[in-house]
Amino acid sequence: MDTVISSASAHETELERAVMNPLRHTTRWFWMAIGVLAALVVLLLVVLIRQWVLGLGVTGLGRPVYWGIYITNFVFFIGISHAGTLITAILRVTNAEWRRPITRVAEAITFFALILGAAQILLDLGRLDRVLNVVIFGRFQSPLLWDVTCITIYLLSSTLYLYLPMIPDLARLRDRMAPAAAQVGGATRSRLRNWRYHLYRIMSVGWHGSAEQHRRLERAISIMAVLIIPIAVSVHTVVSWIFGMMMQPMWHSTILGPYFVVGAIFSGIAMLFLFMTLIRKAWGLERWIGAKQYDYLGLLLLVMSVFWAYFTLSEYLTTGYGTLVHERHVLQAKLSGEYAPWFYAMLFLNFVVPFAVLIRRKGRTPAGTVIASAAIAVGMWIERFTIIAPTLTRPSLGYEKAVYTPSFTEIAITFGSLALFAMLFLLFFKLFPAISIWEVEEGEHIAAVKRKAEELMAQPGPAIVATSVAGGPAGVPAGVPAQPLRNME
Amino acid sequence: MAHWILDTAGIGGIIVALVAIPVLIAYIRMVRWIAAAPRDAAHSGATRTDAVATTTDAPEGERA
Amino acid sequence: MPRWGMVIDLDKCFACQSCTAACRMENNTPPAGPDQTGDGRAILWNEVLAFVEGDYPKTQVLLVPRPCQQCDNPPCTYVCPVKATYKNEDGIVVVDYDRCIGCRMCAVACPYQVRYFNWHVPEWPPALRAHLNPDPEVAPRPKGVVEKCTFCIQRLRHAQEKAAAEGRPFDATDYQPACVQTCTGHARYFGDLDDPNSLVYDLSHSPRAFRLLEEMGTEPKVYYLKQG
Repeated sequence: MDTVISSASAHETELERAVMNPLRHTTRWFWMAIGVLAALVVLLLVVLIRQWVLGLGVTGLGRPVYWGIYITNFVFFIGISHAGTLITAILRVTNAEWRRPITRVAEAITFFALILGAAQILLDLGRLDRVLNVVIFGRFQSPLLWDVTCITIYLLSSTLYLYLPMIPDLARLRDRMAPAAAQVGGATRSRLRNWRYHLYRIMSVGWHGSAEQHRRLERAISIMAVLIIPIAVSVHTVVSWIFGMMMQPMWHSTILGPYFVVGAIFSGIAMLFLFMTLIRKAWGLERWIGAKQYDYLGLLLLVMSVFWAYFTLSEYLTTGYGTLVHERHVLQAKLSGEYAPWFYAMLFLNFVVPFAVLIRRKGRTPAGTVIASAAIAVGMWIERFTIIAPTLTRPSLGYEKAVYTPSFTEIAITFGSLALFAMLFLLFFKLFPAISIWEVEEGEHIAAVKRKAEELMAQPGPAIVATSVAGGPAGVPAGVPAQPLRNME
Repeated sequence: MAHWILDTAGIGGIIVALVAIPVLIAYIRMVRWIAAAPRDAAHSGATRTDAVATTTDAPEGERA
Repeated sequence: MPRWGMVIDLDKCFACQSCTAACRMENNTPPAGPDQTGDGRAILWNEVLAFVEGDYPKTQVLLVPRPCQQCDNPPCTYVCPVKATYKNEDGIVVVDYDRCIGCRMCAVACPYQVRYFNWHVPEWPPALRAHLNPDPEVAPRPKGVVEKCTFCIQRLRHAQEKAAAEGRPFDATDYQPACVQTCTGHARYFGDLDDPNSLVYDLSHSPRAFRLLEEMGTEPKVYYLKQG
């Protein structure tokens, strides 16, 4: 099934051809992948409907373990949403050129991870039909209201932050499809076939690429890049305070806010590696998502692993060194009790594996980072789980040690949610370019200008101020001999 | 007063709305501001969708 | 306003669990059955907890009846996103079953685990269903909401109405929760903790008096008299 995005211009660049190829052609493998994912999503819907009808009794939850897998998934997905923020925002603000080919994937991950994260909270409610009470009767002392506020702002911001850099690419697609649309005429069938043209046309809001328009777009993106960093930090901080504000053993910790933010960025980069490698392979983008991305991002992932290990050590050493009875019960559950296998697996997956793989440059390749990232993705899910379950199974009154066995419903919803996340991601990149074409072109242009400037500066010549190529002091035209310093402004 | 803001049912919803609605409006206005940017005088009839937005280039990117 | 409190004498209690049974009959909590109870689904607003230390034959068992502690600093009420649970003017922590969204944050916040959740649509076997308390205050709750001990607030309302109807001032001894009324060992006392002439005032100041998890600062209004 092919779509008519013409290469009307004779000289379509390699980048354009590679990035637009998946928008034009769809392989059988794609539909098979979607089929598998869709089957899991159908399973998700079936068990979800059953849960809505029968009640949360279909889960493995029970007093005192009132929260379990769903809340774990919530924290996990919200954590992953920090992929986009770190890469696109922080790397934009610090002018790291190597970010350009991966910003689109990162921003898409953020967007869909937020949606799936919010969905996990909703399906955990006993009375989803009353969810609007949170607004109508909202009580701001509750950390859940802080969550609603911050996640709403973050969702709005990350939507804009995904959309803005897409506008020039959408306009490019619109223009490529325009001749085809004009040819086909006004029949209904052609209107349907042209729905993509209309989608790109509407979404590109009349983009015409003038200098002023580019300036405004860059300005808006820069503002968002700076704004979204504190917004993202606030989101995962308030998510941690769902636990941190409560007087439960090993939850009421001052370190929880920063710990969760570090964990979020950590798991976010891991997810970015997994999905960008997938897209790179499936869409044939090896030339643009290359060694540099894997090397530098791999180093960042290694740094985050060390950060995470530091916070984890701080948390557990402090708890273990003290003698607070309730806390020690929970600590023992993790170090030597039934949660010990989970705990040690988490340490292995989150620190040992990433460190071993990423410390060497040879490990910072697609294969190496996928191994490290897959380990981290599982390890970070386990981290969230071992924050929630052990504490709830050891209530402070200390008369019981509860057991939490997740049910099939919870497992199906977990895998179904991951499948939905992947499915939405793939469908998105069937419709929109996986690499921000104009940003990569801009990067190539900047690199070319720099190279030209270096070449010129390397040339020997008379005492000509060589600043005129890259833009020298105002008012000094090219070729004018250097003035004595005291006359320069 | 602080206790009243934190404890009263409904105030939380108002706070969420007071934060979210201005943000949404600001973002919409941002997009409209970008969309309303004036075209270049030299290429008023064409659209340029490539990245290099200088007015001294040859009109290679123009579409009829 | 009376500050309603309870004192439970652990020397007199022999864990017959009549209080638990009476609470169920008074407040229409649904029976869960043995399987669901094993999964932690039993709804028992008043429960007798067994604190067991050591191994047989040197076990030490402390049996503690545990209603809602009706804290004066209730951590459960701080975290409710919709104010479905709050401390009312009588100092009793109540739940608005029509507003609760079932997020269970209050249940997680309670250090004593006195809150219960309706995991299913509640059901009763026919014999129990025939004996449901008809009082609308304790009408069976729907699935998906949290519920807990209210010091039998419906009895408080009835006692206040009765006093008004009879044209006499309401007295704190006019009302007691079902568990206090039923206790076969006469181990439970109830009344106004602020009234210096009340029994609970005396007992709560006894050298044997203690409260559960006192160091948490929740200020529970249920006192226990130490065993032995």
